[in-house]
Amino acid sequence: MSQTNETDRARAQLSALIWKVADGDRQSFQEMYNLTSAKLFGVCLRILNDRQASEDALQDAYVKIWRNARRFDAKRASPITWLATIARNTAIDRKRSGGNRMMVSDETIKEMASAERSVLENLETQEGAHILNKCLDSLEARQRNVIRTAFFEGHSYNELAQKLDTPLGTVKSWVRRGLKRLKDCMNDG
Amino acid sequence: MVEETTLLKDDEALAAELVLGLLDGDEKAIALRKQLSDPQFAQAVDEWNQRIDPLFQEFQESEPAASVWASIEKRLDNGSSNGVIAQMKRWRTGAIISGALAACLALVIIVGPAPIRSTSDTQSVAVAQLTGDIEGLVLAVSYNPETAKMRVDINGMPETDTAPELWIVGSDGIPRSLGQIGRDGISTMTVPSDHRQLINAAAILQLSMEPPSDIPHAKPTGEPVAIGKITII
Repeated sequence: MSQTNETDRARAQLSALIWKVADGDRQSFQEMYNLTSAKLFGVCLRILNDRQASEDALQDAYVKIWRNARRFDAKRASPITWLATIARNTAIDRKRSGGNRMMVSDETIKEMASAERSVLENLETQEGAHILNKCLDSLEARQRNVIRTAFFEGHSYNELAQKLDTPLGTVKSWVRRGLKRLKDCMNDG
Repeated sequence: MVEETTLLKDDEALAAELVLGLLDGDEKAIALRKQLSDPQFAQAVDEWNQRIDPLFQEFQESEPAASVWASIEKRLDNGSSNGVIAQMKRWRTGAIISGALAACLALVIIVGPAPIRSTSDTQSVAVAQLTGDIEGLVLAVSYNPETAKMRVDINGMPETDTAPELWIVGSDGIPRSLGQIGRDGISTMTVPSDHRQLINAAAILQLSMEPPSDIPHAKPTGEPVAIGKITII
C-alpha cells in the first residue's frame, strides 16, 4: 500500500509540474527535466541506439513538451507515460526521417526479449504491468517477440519484415493475432 | 487457415498498430487522420495506449550529457525569433507526435506589420507552434492588431464531417472561440473586441474539430488537435 501511495504522490508531483510548465514556468520545466530526462533519454537510446542521435531527439522531445504541456490530460495517461510517449514518438520519427542514423545491433529478437524480461522483473510494481506481462507470456513466442520488438525498437512493419527476413504479410499476421489474443486476455483480467 | 476469432476488427488492429508505431507512410497518415475524425477510433487508440502503458517501465534510465539541457534552453530562447523557421521546416519534414498526443500541426501566428504604422511601431511578429495529429498539416495565422483582422492559412486538413474552429486561451485557461475557419487555404476574420486583449504573449491558440456552425461555440467539444503559444517578437 505504501508503495502505491508513493507512486500516487510521485504522479501528483509530476502532474503539478507539467501544469506549471503549461503556464510557461521555466523553473518547473527544469525541475521536470531533472526528474525525467534520464528516463526519456533511455527511451530515445533504446530506439535510436546512438548517443548523439538520442540527445538530438531528447532535445526535440523536451521542446515539444514545453510547447504542448497544456495538452497533458491526467485522466488519459500517467504523467511519465505522457512524457515518455513524446520521447518515443520523437525518436521513431527521427529514426525514420531522411538521414537514417539507425545502427540497429544484430542481436536477435529472442535475445532482445529475454534481456528486457530480466529488467522487467524488478519493475512489476503495478497491477497493470502484471496483467500485461501475464498476457504477453500467454502469446506464442513469435507473436510476443514481434510486438515487443516493435515497441522497444520502434520498428515499422516494413522494418520488422526486413529484420526478420520474413514476408510482410506473415509479420502482420503474427502481430495481429498476437494483439487479438493480448486484448482478449487483458479483458479477462 | 485463420479462424474468425484470431482477428481483430480492422479499426482495432489499426489503432494498436498506430500506438505501437508499426505504421509508416500513407498508412500512418490515414490512421492519424482517422484518429482526428472518428471518435470511436480515437477511443480505441486511447485504450491501446493504456494497455501497453506498463511497457514504458521497462526502458532503462540513462543520463544524457549535461549539454543537452543547455541546448534545450537555447532553443526555447530562440523559439521567439528566427529559430522558429528552422523548427518549422524540421517539424514539417519529420516530426509527428502520435499516440495519446499525436502529430504534427504547426501553428504560426504572425502579428504582421500594420498597414498604417505609427512611427514608434516596429514590425512585430509573433509565432507559436504546436504538434497535432496530422502529418503535413500546417496552419499559419497572422493578426493585425490595428484592424483586429486575423488571417488564417491552413493546409493539409483531412476530410472530416467536422469543421476546424479556432480558440484563444488566455491566462485563465478558458478557451474562447474565434469562430470556424475554412478547411483549406486562407480565411480572414475580425477578432471580437472582447477577445482582442487576449492576443498577447501569455495566450495560446487551439484548433479543435467541431460540428459545423455559423455561430462560434461556447466551448470546444473535443480535444484540441493543435495548440500554439503566441509569441510576440
